[in-house]
Amino acid sequence: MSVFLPLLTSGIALGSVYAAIALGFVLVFKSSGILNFAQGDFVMIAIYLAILCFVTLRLPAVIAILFVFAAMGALGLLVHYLVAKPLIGKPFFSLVLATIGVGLILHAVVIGFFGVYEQRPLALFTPGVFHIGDAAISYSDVTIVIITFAVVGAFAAIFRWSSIGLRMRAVAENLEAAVIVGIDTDRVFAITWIVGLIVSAIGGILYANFTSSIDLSISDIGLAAIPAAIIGGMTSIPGAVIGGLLLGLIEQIASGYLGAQWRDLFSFGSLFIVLMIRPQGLFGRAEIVRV
Amino acid sequence: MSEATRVWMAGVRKRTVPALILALVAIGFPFVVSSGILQWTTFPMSGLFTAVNLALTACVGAAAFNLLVGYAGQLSMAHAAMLMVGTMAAGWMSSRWGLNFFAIVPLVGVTGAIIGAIVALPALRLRGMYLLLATLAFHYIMATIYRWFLPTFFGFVGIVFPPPEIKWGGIAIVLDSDQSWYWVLLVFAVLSLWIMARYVGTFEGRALAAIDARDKGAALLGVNVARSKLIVFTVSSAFVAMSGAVSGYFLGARVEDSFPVSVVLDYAVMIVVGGFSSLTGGVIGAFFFYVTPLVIEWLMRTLPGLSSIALLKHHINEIDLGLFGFLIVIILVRRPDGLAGLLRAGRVS
Amino acid sequence: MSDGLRAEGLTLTYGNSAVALSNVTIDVPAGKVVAILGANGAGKTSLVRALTGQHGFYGARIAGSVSYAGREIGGLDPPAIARAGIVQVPEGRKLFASLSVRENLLCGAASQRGRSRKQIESGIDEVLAIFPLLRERMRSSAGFLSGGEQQMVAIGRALMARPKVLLCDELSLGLAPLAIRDIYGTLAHLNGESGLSLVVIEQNAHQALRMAHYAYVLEVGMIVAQGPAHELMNSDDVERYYLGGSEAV
Repeated sequence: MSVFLPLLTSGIALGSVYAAIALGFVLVFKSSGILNFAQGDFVMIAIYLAILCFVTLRLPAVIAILFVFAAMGALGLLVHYLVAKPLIGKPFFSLVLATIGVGLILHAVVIGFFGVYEQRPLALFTPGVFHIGDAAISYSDVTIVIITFAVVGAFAAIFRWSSIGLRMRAVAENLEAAVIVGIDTDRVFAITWIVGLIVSAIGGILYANFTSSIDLSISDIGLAAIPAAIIGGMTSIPGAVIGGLLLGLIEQIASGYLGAQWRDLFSFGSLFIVLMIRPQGLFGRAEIVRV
Repeated sequence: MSEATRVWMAGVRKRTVPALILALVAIGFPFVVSSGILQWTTFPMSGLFTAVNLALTACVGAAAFNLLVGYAGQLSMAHAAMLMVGTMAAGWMSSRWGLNFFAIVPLVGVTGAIIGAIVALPALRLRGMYLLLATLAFHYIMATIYRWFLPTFFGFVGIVFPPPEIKWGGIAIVLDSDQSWYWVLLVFAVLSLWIMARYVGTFEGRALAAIDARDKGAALLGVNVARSKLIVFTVSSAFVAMSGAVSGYFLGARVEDSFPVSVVLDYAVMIVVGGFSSLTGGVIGAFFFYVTPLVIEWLMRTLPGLSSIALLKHHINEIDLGLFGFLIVIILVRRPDGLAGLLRAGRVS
Repeated sequence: MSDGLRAEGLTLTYGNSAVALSNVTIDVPAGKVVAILGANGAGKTSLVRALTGQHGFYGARIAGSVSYAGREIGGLDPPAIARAGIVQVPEGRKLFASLSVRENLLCGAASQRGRSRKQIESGIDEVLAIFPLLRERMRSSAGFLSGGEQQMVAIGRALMARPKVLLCDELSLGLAPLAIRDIYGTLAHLNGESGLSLVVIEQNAHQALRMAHYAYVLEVGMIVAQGPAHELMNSDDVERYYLGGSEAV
């Protein structure tokens, strides 16, 4: 129990991070059909910007957060207008490759501005642990979970009940009908990118507190969004959240007992199995997956 | 002469003249480099030689990648995984069975084909994006296997490939320099591309286009969709694996870090820039990928002003990558046919 | 000067070469019902797309003019044309299947600007007054409704945009005869009561001609016949232009 409980909580914490990143990923996918392979690089930029604001410039927390959000929002706008919009209607693989291209550019930008050196992880939350019986559980893990749930909850509320949320859902459900009905789909796409990137950025910043080292390979976490999204179901937003949580749990617990070098095997092995047995994931719709 | 003959001769001229020029360049290239004629340009000719050799091994892989993605529309990210398969197979055969290079390459092809077929079987029914993700998963699974395989069987040093020897009559040539490798790689590339081109030209090959267009429609036309998909995965994987083995021998060694997922991105760059829908595109893309960084570095050294920007100097790799990323986006948005498309347009006009 | 919807010399081309409409001229006077008849592929839906400015989404270009109450609307984007009062009930309904009926209706008002919460709610009330059957289904997912109910939602959704001209594309598709009669009866009532202009597009000629004042027949993108509805109903030509167009409803 003293081993399992901390693994459980850190698994949920990691899962929350994955959930946030997967949520941003699925949001963009559901709305515009784009599989954003640059997800990891976007998250990486958010993390590095956060380090810049919080650590290097020592800006007050509120200003730092707003700055990062604004930057990610601006980035989302750029990606929509310069890349996603011109490629509407082009074949799927072109879109995938375009996001890969964007990722390469972002990667180069980060290196150019921040260099290749390792950064110290963020420590924004209360340090230290508290005890439940024998088990030592870190405050940081719990904080991460709480924040993620708050963010996801806020997002879900907006998505379900606000006017812009209705438009986003309409566009994601049936683009043609949305055009017919007179929804400004261009604006919806742009907003989707902005919101998606901001939510993922939050996940990334939380991860920067969770992980023990930050360097350029942190962009790999973006790719972790993919198994999470598939397990939950690429067409389901709640699915992305649940998929993320499951994935985090599986990874942490398995790595804890079996060793960290098998991490990729677990996450992508799960992905492969899900694709073979039930490609639409836990909550997705079964229509157009198989030939 | 008759009109038909005139047209035929024009056609022959259009096809064979560029081919002859290409052949001349290919044959003359190593002599030009070693003679030092172009030394005045301060272009790094020896670096160019290595780059060209690398491009020759890569272009087989890129063309095979294009075969799968461009011709048959099967979105696959299993590319790096198959390179790893080729490397592991070659390493095993070389160190455990003591086979020589020229025996290993075809055997690796067979291995690649078998593994490609095995992986393709479950993936056959997945469409588009889901196939893409399944192959991505396959990459990570294979990467984990590779990272276990290398230290387990080859220790921390990784796989070391001994330079191959050609013993012919009384002559023994050791392949240990760019010069000696060039001819072997040239033959390998030309032969592989020729085989792939023949495959595309057969009924099987034309079936690929049908599958790409419409799985269901193709089935109605009498194309055994599942079987054709299996075949194209098999053929493509065979060549990719071989290309992995060959480049392993060329580079001399392979270590744990040799195949990050960015390798898939590298090949993606090649086929986008070169042009999706033709084998030529893969070839052009491969050469572009390896030669351009040299050109950029040379430009930065020789053009006044640029050489003084320290930022560029320190981060040349990343600048290259960023540039490739930029190119990908621009090409996809503006000219999806890539460089091969430009060539074709030029030839038509 | 036409006081209603008018298309003049309208030509629509998909991609670079597929001409779907050729020099089409149509008048929909205010308060009248106009029927557009034609077989499958005659260009009826393309006409709807051109009139509502949505051809761009399908990769098509138009030439010629589209105007309403004398004002040129051909170059405007779809939301603007909807605001000008030209709204379609699309072929096949095209509802948002996983959204509720209420949410579908709300989406119908998406093109409208500056409408208060209250105004939108009263719009929904008006729709429910016309289709009282939907009252119980407000919270259900639109995808689970019957064909007739879905058609009501589709029309209601269009009505939320306060149209002046309603383009109804193949409303009878997939509906039982009784439902078809009900729907068209409701529409005729709307036309009589509020002066809503209707463009009724149907393969089912008789039903459309019965409620129309004027009718056009489209064939391969061109108008091949037009005239007051009762004339066309008795015309042999119309029978001849159809395969199986003489089914009485």
